[in-house]
Amino acid sequence: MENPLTPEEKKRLQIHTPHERVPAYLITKIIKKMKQENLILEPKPLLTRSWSGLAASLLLGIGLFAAGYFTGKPDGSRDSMAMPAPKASKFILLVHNDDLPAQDPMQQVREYRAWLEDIQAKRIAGGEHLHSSGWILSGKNRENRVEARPEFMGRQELGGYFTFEADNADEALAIAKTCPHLNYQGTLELREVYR
Amino acid sequence: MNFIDQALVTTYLRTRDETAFRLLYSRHAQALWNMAMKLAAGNNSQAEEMVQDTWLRTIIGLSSFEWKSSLRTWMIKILINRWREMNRKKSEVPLEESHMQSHAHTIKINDPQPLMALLPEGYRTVLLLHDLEGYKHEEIARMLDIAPGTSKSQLHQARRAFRNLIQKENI
Repeated sequence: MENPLTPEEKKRLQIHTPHERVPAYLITKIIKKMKQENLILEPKPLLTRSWSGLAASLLLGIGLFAAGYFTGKPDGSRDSMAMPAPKASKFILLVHNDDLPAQDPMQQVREYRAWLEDIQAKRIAGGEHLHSSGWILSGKNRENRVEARPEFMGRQELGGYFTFEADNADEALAIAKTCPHLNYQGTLELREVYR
Repeated sequence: MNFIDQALVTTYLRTRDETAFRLLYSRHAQALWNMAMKLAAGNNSQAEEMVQDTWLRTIIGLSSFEWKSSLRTWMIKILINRWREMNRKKSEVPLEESHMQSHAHTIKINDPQPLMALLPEGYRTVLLLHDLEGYKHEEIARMLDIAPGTSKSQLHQARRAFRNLIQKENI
């Protein structure tokens, strides 16, 4: 096998600056074209919208809200009346990107959200969803420490994480086993956080 | 986790709503643009045409997309197909014009930027997907409709061809 490209060779291969932004006018052009092709419909006044249209708009709202289920409630956002025992351990549940596509994605989103809310009713819990693109930093090669990755979507890649408190590992494991990600044959990784 | 894309696609298909499309666009526009610019060897107008067509084809094909890969992987595949079509059209240009293009390439060999443009289509694609964009052979295989083993051997040959190019340039 031919050796991987050196950083210098990669530079030679690059055509443009890696961080060059997509032209802002492009979306306007695309949307104009889509409207010409009837792929985007002009919005109707609210009162003349069909019930299915309204429901769909609502679903979009719910979906966007739910899509932010990871980000909406950071650790410690619960009210102090429901604080857990001070000696609880903190756990992180890493969510891998290997779940099967859901038949009804909205239902999947609702399941994740309900699950997190259920934990939050008893414990400090939160979570965040990660962007699919990012960077890999490595200490191995001094000349090429940072590598841009367009997409972290492979089986072992991280899609997000939840954090929650539990009295011990058994309880944390019991909580993790109820995560809806498992219903979609996804992989979870449970780790205790050093305190 | 594909569910955000799935939620947006479901909403778009139900409503044909501009907002849903804009959200979908914002998730993938930059990655598509980066890829298009590299495939088009920095040719802005070609990249623009490729990206625009990719979005239109994606949207038209969305209802039959089966989510066997991520939406991004599927879109990159569409983009690469579009680029190949454009290349085929280019190769059909009259002989004289084609000669001028190849002459232009010879001149550009001293310019550090367009080395990518001198590589054959197959080599260029695998080299950039693997070595620059960081895709794995399994993902590349899905995008190019080839076996992962073919992707590996193409990469091997592409790296060799690229190094030969650099050597020639240094002579």
